[in-house]
Amino acid sequence: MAYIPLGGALLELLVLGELGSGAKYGYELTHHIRDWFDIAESGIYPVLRRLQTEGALDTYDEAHDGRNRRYYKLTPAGAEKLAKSKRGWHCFKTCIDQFLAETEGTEP
Amino acid sequence: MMKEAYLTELAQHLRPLPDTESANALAYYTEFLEEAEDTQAAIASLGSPKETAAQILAAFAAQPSNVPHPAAEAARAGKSDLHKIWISILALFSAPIALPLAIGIAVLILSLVGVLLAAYLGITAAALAGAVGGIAGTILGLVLLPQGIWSALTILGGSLLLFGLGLLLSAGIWVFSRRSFNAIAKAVSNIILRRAKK
Repeated sequence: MAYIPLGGALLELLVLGELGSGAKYGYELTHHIRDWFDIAESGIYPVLRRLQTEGALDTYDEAHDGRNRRYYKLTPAGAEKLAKSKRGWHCFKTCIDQFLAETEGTEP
Repeated sequence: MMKEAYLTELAQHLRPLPDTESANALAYYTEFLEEAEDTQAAIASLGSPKETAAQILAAFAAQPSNVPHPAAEAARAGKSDLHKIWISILALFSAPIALPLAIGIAVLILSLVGVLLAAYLGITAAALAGAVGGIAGTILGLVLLPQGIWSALTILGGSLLLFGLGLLLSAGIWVFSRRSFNAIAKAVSNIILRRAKK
């Protein structure tokens, strides 16, 4: 479980990352992210919708047990966005680690 | 709360959205609750319909207005921007913040919009008056042409200048008012989004 609240860009990165391994439907996606992070479930839909309007995601419907499942998948633009966000994240993570390591020595 | 009750209440809170947007969100949450093995637990984890709707409304209002259909959007730009401000205000009321604060902010936004509208109307009137005056002056100049060519030409030139300035000013106001309304809508939804995330 994460102790840092997730929102905005980080939540977007998680959603893109989830879909990087293939198309998923809403419940599946949310459930998997919730296994790892303590996020509000109602926060996922706005992210999906925004990514979809941006052209990063495509949807298609599939019948399952008499109901409908809407699958979300990355478009080429979405895959590019994921790669870019991943690079950004690695840089961010390293910077935070280095920053904390450096400030640790200077603490009173 | 039952699944149907939750969705009905959610639909009510989503009414300010365009039909396609609210239908899309409702389809998502219907599917979500149907997929859940434990519907009650899923409903509990979603939070109240009001909170869920507030996030959807805020996210919609934050979208740049010129993304989906540039031509259609441009045609009714003024209207849709005002519509977004309205949605922002509604989202504000459904966001989990103290009601007095929400009312205060809503009044502030409304008065801001009112002041802007009044200012635009005033400047537009001045600009149009300039343009009309320019046309009148041009006609006067043409009429006076036989009586004295130099003074008539001076009037003619001045009037054309006035006419041109009037048109420029009108166009400028049009662009500026669109931008500022968009900015208000965006600012409000940013506030709500930040509050919703806590």
